[in-house]
Amino acid sequence: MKVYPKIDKSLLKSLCVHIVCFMILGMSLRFSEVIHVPQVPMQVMQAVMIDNTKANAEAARLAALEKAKVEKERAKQRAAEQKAVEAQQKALKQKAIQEQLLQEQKNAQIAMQKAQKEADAKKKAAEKQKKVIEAKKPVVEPKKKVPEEPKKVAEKTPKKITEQQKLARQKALQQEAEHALQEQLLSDQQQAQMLAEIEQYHQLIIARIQQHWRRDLYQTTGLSCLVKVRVLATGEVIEATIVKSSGNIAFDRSATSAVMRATPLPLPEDERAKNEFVRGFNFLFKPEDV
Amino acid sequence: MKRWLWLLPLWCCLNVVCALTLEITQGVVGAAPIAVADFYTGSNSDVDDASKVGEIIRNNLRNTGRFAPLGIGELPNRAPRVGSVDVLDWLQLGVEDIVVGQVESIGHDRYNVSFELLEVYQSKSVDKSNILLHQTFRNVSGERLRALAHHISDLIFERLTGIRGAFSTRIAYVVRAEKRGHPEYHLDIADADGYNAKTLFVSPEPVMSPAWSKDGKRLAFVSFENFRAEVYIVDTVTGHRKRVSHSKGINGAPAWSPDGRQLALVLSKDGSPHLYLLDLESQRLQQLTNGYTINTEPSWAPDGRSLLFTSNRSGKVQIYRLWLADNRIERMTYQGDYNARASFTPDAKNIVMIYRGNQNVFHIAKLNIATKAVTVLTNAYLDESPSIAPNGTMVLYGTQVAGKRILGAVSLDGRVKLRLPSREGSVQEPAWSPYLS
Repeated sequence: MKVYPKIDKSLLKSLCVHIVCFMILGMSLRFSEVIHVPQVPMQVMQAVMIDNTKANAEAARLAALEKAKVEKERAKQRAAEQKAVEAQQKALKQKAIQEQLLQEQKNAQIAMQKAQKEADAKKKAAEKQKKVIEAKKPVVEPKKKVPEEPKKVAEKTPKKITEQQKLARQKALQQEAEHALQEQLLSDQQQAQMLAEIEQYHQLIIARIQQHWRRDLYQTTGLSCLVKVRVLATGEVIEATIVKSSGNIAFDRSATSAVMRATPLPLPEDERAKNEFVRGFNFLFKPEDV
Repeated sequence: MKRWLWLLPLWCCLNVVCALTLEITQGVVGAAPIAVADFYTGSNSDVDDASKVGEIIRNNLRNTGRFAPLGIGELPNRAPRVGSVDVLDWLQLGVEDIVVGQVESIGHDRYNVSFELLEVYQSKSVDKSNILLHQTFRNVSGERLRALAHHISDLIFERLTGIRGAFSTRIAYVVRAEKRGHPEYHLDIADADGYNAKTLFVSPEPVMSPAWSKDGKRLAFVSFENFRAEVYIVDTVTGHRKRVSHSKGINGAPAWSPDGRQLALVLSKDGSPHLYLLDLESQRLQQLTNGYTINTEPSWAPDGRSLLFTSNRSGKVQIYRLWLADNRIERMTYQGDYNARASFTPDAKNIVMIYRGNQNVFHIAKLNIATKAVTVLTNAYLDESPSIAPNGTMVLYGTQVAGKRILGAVSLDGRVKLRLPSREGSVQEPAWSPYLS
């Protein structure tokens, strides 16, 4: 008899927890909806900003990489010297340096894609472990022959491999980053230039349409219509259709006629910028009365 | 990654909806340029009207103020045949539309008439034709050619503006002429463009207040032929005339009810002028207003459920509205100390009336019923008798130019004004007919 209320209680608890979970999930879902919907139309505006910060980040990353490279070189030298002077005693220290190097490398890589870095780190760790295990194996067997040697071999082998790996990876990453950065910078510049050009041509097109828009003498206040336009790469208008009517035939006709009459529309030279127009756009005819 | 996948369709939708949209807020305000060619008649244009069809259409469109037809000399071809026009040849003219037509004689003063309305600026789709209208009228008599030109004008106007044309309607007006030193009054009707005038009644005594029946077949008016104001009805086709009200005192300001069965009018048989309803079949009279003030100039609402009238019951001359269901009276005008001769626009949203401005000058004005805003449409001296076109686009009124009374027309927003062709004598008290089907 007393079992039921107990079960009830736990059930209730779990139910409450579930409800809370669902509420949180529901809320977070809704939040993300609310936040993300208006973000999409603003993409064009934000594109420049994002790209700029990206470019800055890339520059910072490059600088960090350069620094890391120099430091690594120094460290390598230092390591070599140290190795030469105190080969055996510095094993621990070397390890520490190695770790430091790794840390530096990691720091340099932070600006890079996290996923890749993490994967790399994991891979590295796995490889290291593998190497250690592999290195440990000969330790067990040659113990009989030379008890002191294997330690050195065991220590040397992973170090050599990791160093080589590190170098290669570093180089590749650096090249990749440089390449990406150059491309990014170029495309950023192009992007910004293109956007500026497109914006300029918006104004030119608007001016041309307004020159050709003969408005009715009669009251057109409050009327508006949306006209879909198709142009060729030459700027020639091939189609102007009413997407949303004003409800007034004369007004709608004056709008489509204005677009057809304004042919050819001024279009940017740049192919990519031009494509922004060629793939179709709209005019909203919405007179502002004096 | 997967978490954001649901955004993809949304983004696609937004991409479609939010495609680049440029906003156009300014334009050149003006009438639509249009080319109306003369109608092709071949060599056998023996009837005057046959060669005038194009010209009639041109004038009709120009008189609306919404179109600016090019002069015939500017066209690359004065009278091309239907179907022969290459729009490209007309592109440099800057016109938006082209009207071409032909009148083909088939003998015995009979004609086949066809016309085309072509759109110049048009999407270059293969399946789309640039012919907005194409129609042929067969076996039309010579005397009907002018009426047909008005009908074609109606078709063109409606196709281009979405508003029914009122070119096939008529106007009635009073002409005051001199004959051997004595005044002579005519009750005339004419086409809406002033042509085809026809006199229905002549009298040496004043004639006033013509009012059209809703079928456009009869006119009620006031005649002083018996040296006092009496109300008559005249048939516009037969000219047959009948006296319908001759009570003691004033019998004036007749107005047909929308159903055509009643006449609202003003009688002063019991002292002050008051509004009455006269049932035309039973001759029964119903008094609508009471008291010691003046009540006059009744005008029906389009739905026939209320009347506008002018009264000085507040001490000043203002417009009131009387609801027939309960005889409730509502004051309509508050701006200015003189508002009179009101009538509803066809959509019943506005009232057109006479409004006295500051310097004792009478203007035609428009009152928006909802907002009570008054817009002065004309600024001439002594404008009178505003009468609204059945399509609500223009107001016909009497005005005075250089001491002579003529007819003028103004668009309902006051932007387009024109004078109708003046004729002998003074023309006044115009009344625009309803649609004549």
